[in-house]
Amino acid sequence: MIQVTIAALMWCVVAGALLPGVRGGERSVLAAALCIAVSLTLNIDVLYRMTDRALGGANHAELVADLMLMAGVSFLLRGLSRTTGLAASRGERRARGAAAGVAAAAVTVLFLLIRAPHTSTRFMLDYGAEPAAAAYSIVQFTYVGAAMSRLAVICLRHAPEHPHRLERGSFRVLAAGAFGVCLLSADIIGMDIAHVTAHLMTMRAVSALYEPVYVGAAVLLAAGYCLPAVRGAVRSLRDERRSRELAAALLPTWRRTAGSDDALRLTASTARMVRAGGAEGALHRMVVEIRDACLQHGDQLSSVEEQLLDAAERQLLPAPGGASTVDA
Amino acid sequence: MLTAGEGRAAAARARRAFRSFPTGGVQQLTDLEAAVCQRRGRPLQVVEWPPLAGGSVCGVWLATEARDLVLHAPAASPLHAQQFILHELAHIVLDGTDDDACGEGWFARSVFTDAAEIAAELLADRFAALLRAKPGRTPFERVFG
Repeated sequence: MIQVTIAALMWCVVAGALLPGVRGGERSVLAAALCIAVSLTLNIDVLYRMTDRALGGANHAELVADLMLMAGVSFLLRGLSRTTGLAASRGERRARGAAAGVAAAAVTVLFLLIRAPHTSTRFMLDYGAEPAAAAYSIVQFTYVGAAMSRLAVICLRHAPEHPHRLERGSFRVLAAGAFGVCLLSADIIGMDIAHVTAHLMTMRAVSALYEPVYVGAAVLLAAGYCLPAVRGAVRSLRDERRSRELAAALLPTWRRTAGSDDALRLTASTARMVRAGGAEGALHRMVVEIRDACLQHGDQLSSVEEQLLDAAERQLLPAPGGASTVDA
Repeated sequence: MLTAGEGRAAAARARRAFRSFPTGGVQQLTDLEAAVCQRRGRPLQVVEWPPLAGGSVCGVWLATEARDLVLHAPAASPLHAQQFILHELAHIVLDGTDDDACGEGWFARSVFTDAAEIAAELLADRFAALLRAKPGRTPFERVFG
């Protein structure tokens, strides 16, 4: 039941991120949510059995689920790094990619060394006594734990810099969830070592932590993800509607001015652009092209058209720019 | 007028350049200028230049040995002035990422009849979208929202 609830929670996060109006140039976090949701879904016994049967019945579904989890963690770390306002250096990005690649390759090779011929929904319980299985799980959760500890540090370090209480809170909740995953990873590694060394009493003792930490970490990560997404979705929908109204109102002006000159237009059909590219992007292009036409052809605008253009610019422009000098 | 294939190629070039550009901390035009400056490793100067007013050219990028200089026409519309600057910054960024870039020299924003100008204007639009952050639309929201 817990597996179903956690997987459902993760799919709610994915669905929330896919709501109309939720946007953002950076989609790493959506990719992360998708990968993690698929991984958690494969943890549901019935679905695991069905998937594994389709994959040949040798627990390849376990490998798929675990690789999806690792990919999700990797995407989440990449997305979070970008929220800090500092793009990672090329060297750091490469190192992160290489670590993920090496871990995924090692996990795949180790999985192939495990003798697990029959589908098992208790994979590590049934096969964890094999050294290859223990190594498989240890490598996987070493990577997951390391990535999530890095993520937690990023969240905590940058939380105070964020201007909104909600964001600071989200960062701290995400950090708590990431620390939860670190603890979970340590717990799993402890169970693996106890299992492969045949200390079964120790394994049972350590396993008592697993469920509460798993649930707590999942809930915290989902909550940290969703808080700003909900607010962002509401605001995006409102802005999109306003931009669409302004674009529709400006369309006749655009047709009269820039619309008739191929050299001033980037797109053949602004109406198509409005449908395809989002209202704000289309409105921006219309305003620029109308202004270009006025400059190049001396087209005159009526006072109503000027007011509409001013309203569109207020909608689009965050703050006035100006001349500046920047030194390297 | 470009062919559809040339237009798609210009759009792909702008998209690649945007993806490879470190936009994480960019919220204002000055942030973008700083990021361009950092990538080039030399000073960048952006100057409103009245002699460009009323002409067909409304922005120019001059790449000298010591610095990058962006001159733009004065404009009554702040958004239009911003687009002049973004277009020239886009040329600078494309110069650093494209195999077939023109290298050191100058580019001028006038009309969009060749691939380099269209790629720069499309990249400028992407930069404008990045700057369209409403107050409170922070990098966190751009990623999570």
